[in-house]
Amino acid sequence: MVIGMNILELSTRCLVRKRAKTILLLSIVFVISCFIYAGWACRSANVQTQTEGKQALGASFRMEENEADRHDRTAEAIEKLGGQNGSADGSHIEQLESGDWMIWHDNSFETLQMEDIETLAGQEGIAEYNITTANIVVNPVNFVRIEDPDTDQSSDLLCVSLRGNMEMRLDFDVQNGNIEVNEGRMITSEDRDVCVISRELAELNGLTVGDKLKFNSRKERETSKAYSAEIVGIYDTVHKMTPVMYGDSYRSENIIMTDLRFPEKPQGCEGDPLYQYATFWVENVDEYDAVKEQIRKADINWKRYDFIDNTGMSDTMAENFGNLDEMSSMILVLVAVSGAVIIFLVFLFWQKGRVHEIGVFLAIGKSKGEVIAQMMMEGILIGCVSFVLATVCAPALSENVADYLVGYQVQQQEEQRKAEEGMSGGTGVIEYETEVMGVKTEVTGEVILLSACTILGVILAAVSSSCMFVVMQKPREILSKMS
Amino acid sequence: MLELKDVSYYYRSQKDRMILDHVSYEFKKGVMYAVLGSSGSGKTTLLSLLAGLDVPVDGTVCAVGEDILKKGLNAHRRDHVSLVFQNYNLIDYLTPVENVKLGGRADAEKLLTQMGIDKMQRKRNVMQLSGGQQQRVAIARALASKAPVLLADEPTGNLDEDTAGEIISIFQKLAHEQEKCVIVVTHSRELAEQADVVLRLKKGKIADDTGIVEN
Repeated sequence: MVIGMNILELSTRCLVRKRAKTILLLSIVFVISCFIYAGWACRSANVQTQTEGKQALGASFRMEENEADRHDRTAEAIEKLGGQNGSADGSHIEQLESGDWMIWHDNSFETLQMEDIETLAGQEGIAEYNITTANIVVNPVNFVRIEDPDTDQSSDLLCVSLRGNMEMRLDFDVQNGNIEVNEGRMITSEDRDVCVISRELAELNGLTVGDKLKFNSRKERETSKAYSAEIVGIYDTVHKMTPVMYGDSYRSENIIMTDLRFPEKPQGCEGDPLYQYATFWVENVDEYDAVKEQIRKADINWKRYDFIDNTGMSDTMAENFGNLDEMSSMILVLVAVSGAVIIFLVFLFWQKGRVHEIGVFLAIGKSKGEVIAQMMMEGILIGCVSFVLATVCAPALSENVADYLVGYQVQQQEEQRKAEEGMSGGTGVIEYETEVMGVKTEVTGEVILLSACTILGVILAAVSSSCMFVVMQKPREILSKMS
Repeated sequence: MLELKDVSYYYRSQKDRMILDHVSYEFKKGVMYAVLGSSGSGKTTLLSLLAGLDVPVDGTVCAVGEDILKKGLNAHRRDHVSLVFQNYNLIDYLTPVENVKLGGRADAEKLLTQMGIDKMQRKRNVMQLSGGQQQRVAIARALASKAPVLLADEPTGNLDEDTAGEIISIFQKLAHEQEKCVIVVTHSRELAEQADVVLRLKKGKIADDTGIVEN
């Protein structure tokens, strides 16, 4: 190879000495880079939400099921079954005679995964943890429940609620001071088949500590097996516990505290528990934030969960927040494709003005490959400078784009909620309002790497496409255009 | 040095119109050739084939006894021939020195001095030089490749009479002192008169290769 100036030298001189064109291209690639950055950053954004009634206490964190992921998993199960009746991954699908589809889930679908809970509990800085089951509605066999004589119970399930805890003293209603056990004791992790009932329920049925209550499945009241739980304590209500749904089955006095594994038995799902919350307390309050960071790094399926901190904030990953993930992906694809087209057109236009130069290079013995390599190098150099500039601007821009997208999502959800309210007249489930407190985007190493690869890909695709005319023409044809 | 062996060329869309019709000729080193002919006589095609910018439909072009297609056209353009154009064809974002370096030799400054480009001019933007100076830079670039054959397409077409005379003189020196094979395609009678051999192309054939033939 005899050529006296290498590709890098030529590319650098071309860019430096043709400033107007360079600045134009640099500006375009810079804007594209910024949006590519924003797209990737939004995909990994954390949306901090606060839900009324979901505030955690003290120096603790709470883990809950993520609604969006639940929705996604249901959709996956439907797809897996391909429009047939059947079961997949804890989802059951059946077509009714009316033609409508009925979908229900078993506990394995809904529950927090024990191995994930234990992984978080094992993290450094965690002092203790508690697991709480969902309120399981079961049929009271040998006692009667508290009823409001003024309420129409026809649509109620005519049951009581069981709430299992690994450590009852760590239940959020006990911690909040809503209930106090003044007779007997609380349930511990060592207990099996025990319960603590309300003072009102005990008085109505003449029950004392040591008595046994029997429960069975609400669906098969006459035939299903009844399970006994011994009363080990009686609680007094200071503030009524918030019911999760309307109806006396869920009223505060009818909530019976049990050990962790009891509720699944009368529910008819022995061995298939439904853990709704896991709460983790930190050892040293001063290290709360550090422990939080540590926990967030734990290798569990975070997509499945919401993680709520002591301010009631829940860090929801972008992929679980409405269509944020989808919208970020759409931005990325749109920016990448339109960016590639714009850069392609700019380079094509540029090359039309460089026919003379290309012809000269070919005439002095450079190959087409070398000519294209120089164009590529120019694109890459511009891409590098744009990328560095975009890296400086990316955090602020990402934050703003994510804020905008989240705001748009919240607005959409609100409108959808209002529309659904008008159509159905409510679902009977008590709904808490979730407020978005902030959006946290982080330009991590991964985001930088992904952005760099995307920008490089866009530039290479655009430049190589625009170089097609060099490849397709004979040197003589190019030279004939020079004069 | 450079040889055309039974070379024919026509456009695929116009097979009945031969641009070059079974042309055979051997160009020798140390000789300055002038190729004359009316427009459309095939002068530029002949130059393109000799330069390896295009390939003949029939026949072969050989450099130092070897078919240039076998060696590769890029390699042929790089090692065997260097080109000088009517409109100079310098790279506008490079200085004269850098343009010459494109040719491939480190002694660009020396070559430019030989061509009469002074230090001040070497630092200026190449587009700020006069036509004659630009053509000198273009010749310096052609010499930088050390190729034994110099092909020139109307090299004095854009130059005034005095400057054209200087360029012709350079070509003569290159042929006679540096043993280059200089092939100049031209309409210029003055240039042709200075050549050692004049080739006249007519209807795709070399009609004469001695002295100037009237059109």
